Amino acid sequence: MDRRHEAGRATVSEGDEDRPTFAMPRPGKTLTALTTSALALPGIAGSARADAPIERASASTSFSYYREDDVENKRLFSTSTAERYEVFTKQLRIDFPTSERTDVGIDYLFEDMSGASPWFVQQEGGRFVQFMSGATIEDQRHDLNIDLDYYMDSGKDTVSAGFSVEKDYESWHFGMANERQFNDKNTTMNVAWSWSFDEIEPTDGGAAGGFNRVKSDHKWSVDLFAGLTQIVSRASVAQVTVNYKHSDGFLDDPYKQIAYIGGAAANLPDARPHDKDQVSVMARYRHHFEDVEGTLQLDYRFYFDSWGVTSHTAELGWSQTFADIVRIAPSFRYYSQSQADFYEPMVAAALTGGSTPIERSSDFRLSPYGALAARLKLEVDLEDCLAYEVDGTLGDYGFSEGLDLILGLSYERYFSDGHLGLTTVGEFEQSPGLVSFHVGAFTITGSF
Amino acid sequence: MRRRLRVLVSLLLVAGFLATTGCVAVKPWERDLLARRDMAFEPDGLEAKREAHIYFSKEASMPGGSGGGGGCGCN
Amino acid sequence: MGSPCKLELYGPDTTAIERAADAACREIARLETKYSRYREDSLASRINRSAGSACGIVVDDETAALLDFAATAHAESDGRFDPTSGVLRRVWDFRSGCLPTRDEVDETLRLVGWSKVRWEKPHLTLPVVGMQLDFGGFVKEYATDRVAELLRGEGLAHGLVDLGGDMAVVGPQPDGSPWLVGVRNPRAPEEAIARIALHDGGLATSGDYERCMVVDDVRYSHILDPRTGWSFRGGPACVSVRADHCLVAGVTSTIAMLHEEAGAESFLADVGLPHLGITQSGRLFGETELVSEAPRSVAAREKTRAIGRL
Repeated sequence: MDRRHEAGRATVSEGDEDRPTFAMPRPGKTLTALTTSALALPGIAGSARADAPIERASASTSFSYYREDDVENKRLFSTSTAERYEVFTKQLRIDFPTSERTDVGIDYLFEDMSGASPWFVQQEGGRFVQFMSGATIEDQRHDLNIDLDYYMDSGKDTVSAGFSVEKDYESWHFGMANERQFNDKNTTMNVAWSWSFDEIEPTDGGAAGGFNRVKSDHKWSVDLFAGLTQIVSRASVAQVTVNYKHSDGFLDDPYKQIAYIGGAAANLPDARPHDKDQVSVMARYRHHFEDVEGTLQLDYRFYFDSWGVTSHTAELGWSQTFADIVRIAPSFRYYSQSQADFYEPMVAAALTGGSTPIERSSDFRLSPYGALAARLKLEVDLEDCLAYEVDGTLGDYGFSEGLDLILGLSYERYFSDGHLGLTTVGEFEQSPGLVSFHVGAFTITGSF
Repeated sequence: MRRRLRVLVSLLLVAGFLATTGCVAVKPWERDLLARRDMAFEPDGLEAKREAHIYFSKEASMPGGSGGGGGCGCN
Repeated sequence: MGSPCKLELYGPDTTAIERAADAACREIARLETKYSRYREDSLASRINRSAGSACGIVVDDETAALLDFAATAHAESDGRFDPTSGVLRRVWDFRSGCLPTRDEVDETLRLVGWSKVRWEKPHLTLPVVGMQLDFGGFVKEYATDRVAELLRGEGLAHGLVDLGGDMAVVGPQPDGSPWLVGVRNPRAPEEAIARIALHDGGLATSGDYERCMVVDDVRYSHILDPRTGWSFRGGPACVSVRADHCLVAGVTSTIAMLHEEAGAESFLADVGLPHLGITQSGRLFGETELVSEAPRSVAAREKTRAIGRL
């Protein structure tokens, strides 16, 4: 007899698969007779199956470097620094089952940021030019999020909470999510809500700071999400999601100002409405082509908010697999946004009546523009690359006796310009602060 | 905002309709292709979080993902 | 058992698996020793040697239960399932390429027929000298179920027992997904014509691909009809049945193979077990829900992970 066995292998999964549902009105006479007779045989009646953990412990770590292009000469105020932002990010995520039906996920992110950011827009040589914040900004951000999942036969409930802190900003959030599956798990419905509270204490704030900046303020927001995922065929799946967010409180950017054309008076602080409603609708589709071993990835997002911004985002990607181990995925992203109602690079001096616009911002992020990004991702799957012994207790926590690793490398180049938007914005009108950047990242994911 | 809401509702209805027509009920044992990493909408949580954060910080739009998560000082 | 046996086991550690696999092998060896007709010291051989004696033989509980099961199967199949049909092997020599004569078959048919056997638990009497009880038609499936149960008893929650094509699930794959097993194409045994997912229970397959004889351009399969003594013609090429127990699946598929194609379809429909059949012309019938076309070769065990989350 040829005997072969493997110890302790397991794969990441989400839940039990249903057995084929075969409608059996009632067992026929023959089947009843045979089954009864079979059950009389010693030692073959099935006993209760031992329950086993369905999840596997996994961890993921990532390092990335983000760097913005210097502001172009022709868009830079002569005495301003051209340098923009640079961010080093380190991330760590751990998932492990804590019981047969629950698991915990811990997500930690650390960001080391430095550089200068757009402050206000000026006029020079008949063009709008950007004036960057003077001193180099240096800040570190810690972001922690914890998820608790509870699995049921056809779905799961999640509770999550977390915070993000940096020198001048603190944000706390809490939320719940629910996932349910129907149609033999062909259809999945997701709903989620979350609430967050943010507090800002800008550097050099208050009267003493000299920048006419608020000393400290806060805002809260509520986020509602609903999504539907549908398996379309054996090789394709589609998803539609809707997201609504309401924010209330201090929504200005205390580090930005808006200057008067002609410099008649001192710069005005960035001033935005005290509330904001945002809606985002996404449709996504994935289709795998078996004969070429490639997957088509399509994403579209439509966004609009109560500040007047409407945007369209479209992503097109292709993931090509080689020898089941290597995946190379190039993708493109196109983005176009319209301007916020109160966006203006500069404020015209009050000519009569001395009326200053109540809401105003020169922030390039509220200006009209389009952006194109190209990305390339490389992933290598190293299954079972290391074998080791694991004792019973660790086995209960989802540890199996082999390490599966996925190594990933990615690069993105993002470029934005007024001419790229769906509604072309002239040279003179586009914000001089539009950003372009590179991001490179390296990730290791392991399932234990 | 009202007009955009109407556009939104019609988009959703169309998408919902498209999603349900022509769908085949795929049995659990036929889901080998669907389980591929490149068929997932967000296979790499870390990358998704990082990307969403970058776009959120540099553009006016909301990521539109699974909701939740806090903010940061990047506006 | 006379055919390749395979255990696919997953467990918390190598020691547990070794221990379980050892117990499984011991059980298989035990059943082989007890019920093999090739071993002189087996119980089966002792039973066969007692044929013709008036007092018969007293059998143990396990054998009694197996005989009860065989009796039920015989009754439910109108005689198609018959544990006394083994003697027909003597006149049907598939290696020779020669058909037996009518007389030879009739002569042997005198020794065939469960209705001739006196079975009054625990007394078994084979009245005519030369009569034989062949446990081979169902002991392998029984062993499959026993081994699966034994492995569960040893604490294993995931595994698949495969004794020469008779399968029983110890537990689904570690990620909860079912085991995918290929059903051989009867006309091209290296290829799978379909894949069946086993989440629990047992699966047995009967087919005519093993031994057959072609004489004067007519194909004679090794499936002999105990009622006529002759090679059965007109049945399906192969039938796979899924049931809670491999034993029940096994006799059901055996009985189905002894029906004309249309009869096999209705028999299986009546029994009500999930099944897949392939006709001589290659048409699939039965629960085609049970399968997906498998382009790759048999015994591909594929991991099916659930879809990623949003």
